[in-house]
Amino acid sequence: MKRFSDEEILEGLKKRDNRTLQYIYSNYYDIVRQLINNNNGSDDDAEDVFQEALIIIFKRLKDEGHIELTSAFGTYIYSVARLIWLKKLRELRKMDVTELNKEMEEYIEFEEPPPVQDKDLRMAVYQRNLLLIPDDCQQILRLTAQNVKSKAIADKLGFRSESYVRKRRHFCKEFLINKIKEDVEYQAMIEE
Amino acid sequence: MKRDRHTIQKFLDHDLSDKEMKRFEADLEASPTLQADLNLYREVDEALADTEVLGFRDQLNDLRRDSRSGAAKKVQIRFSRPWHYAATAAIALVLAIGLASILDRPLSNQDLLKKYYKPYEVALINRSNDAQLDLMLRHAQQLYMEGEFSEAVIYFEKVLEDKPNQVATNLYTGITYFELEQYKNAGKSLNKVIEHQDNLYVEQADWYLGFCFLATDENDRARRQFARIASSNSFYRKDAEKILRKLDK
Repeated sequence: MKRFSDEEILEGLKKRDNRTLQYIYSNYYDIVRQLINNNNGSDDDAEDVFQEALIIIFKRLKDEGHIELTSAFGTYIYSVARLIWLKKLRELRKMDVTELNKEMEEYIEFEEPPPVQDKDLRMAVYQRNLLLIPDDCQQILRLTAQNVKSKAIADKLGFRSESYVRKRRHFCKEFLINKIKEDVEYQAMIEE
Repeated sequence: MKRDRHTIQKFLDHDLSDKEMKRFEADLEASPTLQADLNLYREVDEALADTEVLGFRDQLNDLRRDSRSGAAKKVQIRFSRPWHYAATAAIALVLAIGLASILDRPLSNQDLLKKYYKPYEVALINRSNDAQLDLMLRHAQQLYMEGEFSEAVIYFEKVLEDKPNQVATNLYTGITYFELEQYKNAGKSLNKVIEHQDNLYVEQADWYLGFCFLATDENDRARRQFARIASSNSFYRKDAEKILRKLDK
């Protein structure tokens, strides 16, 4: 596989280029997995955290246009993931942690990236729950959020009437809100 | 609470009358819970509107699935029954449908099943506060996706021992029993979803129940079931109409 420079990685990430994403996964995921496995987490936790770190970096790239790296990209993504995991350990598992596994902290370089906002993590919970509701509901809610009119949604999704779309939208939204409220991660966040 | 939520949505849609608006604003001032709910609704709307991040999340989920399955393409559900795999069966189906339409003959129930039935795709697992149960459900869903239905059903049933009313699990259990050709059990699980009513999987359960009737040659019940779906606003309405036309021939 071709080696990507940090600049190329950031550019590819901003464009959501699949080859870049695969490169990031194959080069940087393992170290994050080790971090999480060594600090009370599973492989599933590691996948979640790595994904959230990528989304946070992607969002920053979109919002700010670019990121000025003061270290290598690998260090940067590791540092973001580390911060997310620390937050999750504190909030979800109620652990009083200020630092992670000593051995790892000593041999892996990290920096303090801009703080991970609570809102970033809440957005992740909302969007993750969206993927848990039936497909037609996801489509109705996504299209409504893009200001597509009920009539156009009915036509696109093959529903009989606009009024059905409106009724279903209310039901889907309420279902999504209930799912979010039942989510343990959300519950832990609002307890804060 | 339900009324509050309905009002919140109407408020966000600018659908409240002046009188309702005044009352809502007064309630909002007095109730921190209502304020928190309103904030949640607003943030959820913001999350839904962020199409770029949602699209990126979809892309990353696909990558995760690909890397889990070890394949370069999206995970597909494998079908357990040999006729699903066999190219010969596919050719036979095309011939049967072609011939039936030329001769204007009805399709057999098996032909209809082959044409319209496919297992419901698994959504990502919801986290509960029981890690052991989540693990079991994840394992069951993985087996389901791999077409290992006889093993999957064991784990789905274990989950249901603890959470008998979990509607999505009942739906998957019903479809799993269908795949195992245990139609009576499939019907029981699907009916639990339908009887629960207040959930988003009723349409899916109704649809798969129709296939149970087709598979057991209970054509009158199948007709009634698909007629009900066809006359509703269901996602499956159009396909139900097609099945009905073929059954009525």
